Amino acid sequence: MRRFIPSWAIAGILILSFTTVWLRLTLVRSTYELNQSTKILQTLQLDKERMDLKVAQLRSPRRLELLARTKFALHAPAPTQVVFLRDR
Amino acid sequence: MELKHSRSRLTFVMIAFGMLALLWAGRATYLQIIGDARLDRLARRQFNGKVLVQPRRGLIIDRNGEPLAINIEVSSLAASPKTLLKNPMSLRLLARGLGVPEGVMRRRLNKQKSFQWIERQIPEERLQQFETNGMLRSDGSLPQGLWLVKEMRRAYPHGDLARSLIGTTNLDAAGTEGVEYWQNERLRGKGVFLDAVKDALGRPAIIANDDRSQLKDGQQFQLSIDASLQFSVEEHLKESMIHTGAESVVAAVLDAENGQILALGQRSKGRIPKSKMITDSYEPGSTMKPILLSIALENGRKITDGVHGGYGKLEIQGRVISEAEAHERYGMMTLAKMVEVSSNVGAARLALEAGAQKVVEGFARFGLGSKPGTGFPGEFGGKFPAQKLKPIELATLGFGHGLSATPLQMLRAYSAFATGGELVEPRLDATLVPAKRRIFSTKIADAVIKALVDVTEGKDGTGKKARVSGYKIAGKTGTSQTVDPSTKRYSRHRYITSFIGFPVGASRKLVALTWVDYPKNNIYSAETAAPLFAKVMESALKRYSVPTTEPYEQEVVLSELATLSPSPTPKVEATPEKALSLVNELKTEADSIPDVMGLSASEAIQALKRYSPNIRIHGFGVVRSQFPQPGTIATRTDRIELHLESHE
Repeated sequence: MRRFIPSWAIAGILILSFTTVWLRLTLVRSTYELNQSTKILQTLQLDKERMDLKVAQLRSPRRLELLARTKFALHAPAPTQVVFLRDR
Repeated sequence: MELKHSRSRLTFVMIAFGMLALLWAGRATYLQIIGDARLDRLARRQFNGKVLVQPRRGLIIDRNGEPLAINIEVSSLAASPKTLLKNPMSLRLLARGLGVPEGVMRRRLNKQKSFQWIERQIPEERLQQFETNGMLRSDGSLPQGLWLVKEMRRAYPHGDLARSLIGTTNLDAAGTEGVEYWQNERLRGKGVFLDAVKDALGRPAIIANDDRSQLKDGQQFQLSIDASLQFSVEEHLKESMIHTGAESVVAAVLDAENGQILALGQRSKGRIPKSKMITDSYEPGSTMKPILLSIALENGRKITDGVHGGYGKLEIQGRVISEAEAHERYGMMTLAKMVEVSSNVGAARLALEAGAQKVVEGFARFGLGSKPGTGFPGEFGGKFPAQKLKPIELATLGFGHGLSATPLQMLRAYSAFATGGELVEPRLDATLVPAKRRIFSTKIADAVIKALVDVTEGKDGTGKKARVSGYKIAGKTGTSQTVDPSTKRYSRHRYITSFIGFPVGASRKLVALTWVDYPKNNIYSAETAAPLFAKVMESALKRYSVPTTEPYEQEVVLSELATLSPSPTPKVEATPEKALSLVNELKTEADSIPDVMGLSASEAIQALKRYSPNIRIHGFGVVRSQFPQPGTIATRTDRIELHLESHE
């Protein structure tokens, strides 16, 4: 009996099919990974902003002045206690 | 025969099922290969969508890069009313979580909608409350029909520092006041819609990033103000509010070299209003006299020339111009003296002599009548007189009545004296460097400065309390009546006091203005705006380490030392108790009030009770301001007021 489809064609079709499916799966996986990375980046950016806020609050002049007065018992210097240094 | 019948039935069933199979195969082929537009549309609606990616709002920073307004992510609670109303347990949990009765919650929900905001931009404490009430589970999940949406919200890490300037945003992160509104276009950026594939729960799972490059975050805006100096200025304003009993107080510091506004603070009773320095105008009063003096000098007069004070009275067109105090009766005085003692009659005569055209043109050269050009919303250029003036109008113009100007315009005008004759345009944008223009010669500037120094150092100067130890201060007091809106006449009770000045010969040309609206405890600038100016200018000079130009005043040193630890010892370990013991150990004069700033209420009372039995505490927390000021001699009948504020 004669073969309608040669064996090399069958092999070719099989290879193409596997390749198509593999490419498709890779595309979907890569898209997921890219989205995940984007989400991680966004999360890190938000964390950074939260830290920036915390740092700014800790550096707030009001907070530092209160700490200086209460915790460290500091006072504003008298005029004669301020020495201006000139650049040489 | 029977076998033949069975075969035919079998064949019939086979053909029937074969046809059915063909039908299914045909339908499957049609759907998979050829496709159906309607079904295609339904599918796309289900799993395709668009996601709006919001840009990050630009930061507002101060001149040193300190963030004044930043973004934080917050959660907002959204609900699907249709789902909730079908789910009694979810509704119950929601009502419990919010702390409202279930019936009220049910009525609040819009039955027709599948999306409704319940609460926007929820603070962390409130989210914890939801968890305590059982609505929010520990894994972050919510009952069916509810979900949390992440949004960006504006945060101001320095609290209310410069809030009247920075402004606010609404729930949609659009600026509504102040710099947030003014620079909204620059700050907001440009969002972009991205294609997304949704998952089974309708959440975007795969987002196409092709158009993400079109997303533009907002640009940063750098304010010219210095956060540290701004803080000092605002603290001084708080104290001044208590000390003067004023409706509002304003102060600003300008760098006259480059027009940068280094601090712009205000304090008002009630709600924080828009920036009065830029938007509100007043009659400048006696602060116009130095400007009038420079006009007279330009017209050929000399600083040593004389002008008659009319012994306190000048009658023009049936109206009498008099001095601020009845006992002030000046005869012939030099132009410098006229400024030193702030003679209204002298100024009126000088204005009449110069003529309306020269006076009005001269004022215009100083920028009066034109906006300073900061671009800030609501910036006002004041009200400027016409050139055709009646004699009485011209005379009163000489001492600053009959025109109005904003405090910023006056600050700009005085910058010309500080720079030796060059007027600079004030700027709030730290990246802008405005041009300067010369409006009079250095020689005239020097002569006017000499007169302004007499205001603070002269025997009869009205601005002695504006002095700053270690520097020579040139400046002018101003006290002006305001119009009572009900009578449309000048009020006898309501005044605006101001002081504008700068240090002479200092390495940094800083000009400061202080402005006190409706002080109740004392109506004179010498007692209200001038002392405030001294504190503001001292803070500015210390902040920028401006070397002193004069020897320190001995009396100031003594009074300062009386309230400080006599010998600071850096090696001593400081504890909170140390603050109290330091206060108790201070060797002050017998009745001189110690400094209790930063102490708690009980510690402060402990330290002060021997000075007066009448101590009033306002607020909670630690002492933020005290009146009378430390070092003041107190009697047993004096009332001591302490204002407390809690920690952040």
